[in-house]
Amino acid sequence: MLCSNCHKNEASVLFKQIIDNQVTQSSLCAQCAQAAELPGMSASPLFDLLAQLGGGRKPVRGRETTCRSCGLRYEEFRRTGMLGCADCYTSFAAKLERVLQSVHGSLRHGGKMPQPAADRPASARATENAGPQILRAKLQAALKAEDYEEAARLRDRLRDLEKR
Amino acid sequence: MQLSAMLRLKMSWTRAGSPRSEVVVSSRIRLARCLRSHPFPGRSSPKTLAAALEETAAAARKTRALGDAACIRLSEIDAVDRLFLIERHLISRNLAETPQHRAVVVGEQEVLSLMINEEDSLRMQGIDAGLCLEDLLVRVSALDDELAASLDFASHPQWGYLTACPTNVGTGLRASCLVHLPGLGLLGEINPVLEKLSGLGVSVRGLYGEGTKVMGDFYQISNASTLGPSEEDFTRRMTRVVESLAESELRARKNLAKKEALRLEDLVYRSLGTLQNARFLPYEEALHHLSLMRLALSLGWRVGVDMGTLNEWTALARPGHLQMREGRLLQPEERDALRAGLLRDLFNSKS
Repeated sequence: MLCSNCHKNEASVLFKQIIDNQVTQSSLCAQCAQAAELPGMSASPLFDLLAQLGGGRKPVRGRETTCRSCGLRYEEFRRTGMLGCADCYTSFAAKLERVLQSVHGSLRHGGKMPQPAADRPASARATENAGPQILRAKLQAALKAEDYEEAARLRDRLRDLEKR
Repeated sequence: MQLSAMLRLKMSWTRAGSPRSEVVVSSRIRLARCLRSHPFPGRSSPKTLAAALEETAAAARKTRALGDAACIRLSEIDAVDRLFLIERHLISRNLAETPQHRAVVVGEQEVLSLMINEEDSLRMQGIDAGLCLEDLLVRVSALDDELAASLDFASHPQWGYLTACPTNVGTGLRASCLVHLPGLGLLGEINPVLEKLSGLGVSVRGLYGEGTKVMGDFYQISNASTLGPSEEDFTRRMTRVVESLAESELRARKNLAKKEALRLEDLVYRSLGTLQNARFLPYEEALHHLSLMRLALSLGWRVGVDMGTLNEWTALARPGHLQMREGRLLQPEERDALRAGLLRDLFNSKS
């Protein structure tokens, strides 16, 4: 039997592979089997993510194209699937919201968080218990001071409250 | 540290007699965390990576689980050592390929470990024998709490823990099991079963991580998403999926032994003959035969070795382990001959 890939050499390996949770079998020659064995990505979440980010569609709309903290461009993320720092999540918040929704089918973490509220700095704790009016005032102040990171945090906190 | 000393140590995950161990070889829980104070490792300068490494290693020394553990810096060991650690499921290929400022902390019996400066700053892992995801989650989560006492992890009020790749955001949890499904494979029922899994948010991979290749009917199955449900919920769901998978597999094995007894005996004893006599055995072929021995053993047939030994040989027969044993790099042909010789000794000694 000839190799089902190159159709030149004699097949010597029964090559099994998982594609989309399905085992496919092919009879390959030694060379083609070796080439196919290179760590493939077709079954990894990253591969699915990249397919989705690339996808041939127009870039998603949104103002921010560069992370304010680490300088990563959204285009780079689209290419590699990797963000540069924690602030990328606030810099690209609107776009990432769509990405997270489609990857995980959820936008709300339901598990543990790093620190109990009591251990966080006093300013963060104050925000934790603040009502919407105080939060809105703080948000305005943060925007005025161009502290976008704090503003994003306050905005999320406000959204949280409004959803309750 | 002399890594070759690890060759003589038992890996806890190869133990037999643990829950569902006829089908589930091992369970693994992984939590991904990033340090808030630095860019993610992929975007960090060498200086930042070095600082993050020292901070994290110091934090690990303060924990109960990894306080006395060995911290192996990948730049201080050679390629043979690094391959050896990959094969023991302690580091990723990714970590081995960029050894500078990367480390792994390895706890007792290799159950708990911590990769530093992988794609995320920290990748904590618990790996053990049989189906034990829920126990492992408790242990890894306790380690996470202890580390969080001295490290500030990046998080977001709605999205939970932040990771370099958005596919790990939320819990940062990957709960996976290495399952052995020769019965379903031989009956040709593997595809419908795996297809059902994809509808349950479960992804299936080959023996060693991200690759797609299937060897010896071993499959790695894990949760596909990480955001939404709690760590406990994700883990409970995976446990249920694996339990039902194990039931299907055991049913398939019973059917085979009943309806296709002679065909199965033929397959098993041909494989035993190969293991007892072959002079060259590539890893993939060896694993195919070991897989059939594992099936035979679970049906109560005698093949001269026990389940724990078979589990161990899925790692011991790999190229890195053979090279570690010999203390030098080996050509593929030398490895195949050495592997065949070792397996010959193993399968001829007790029968």
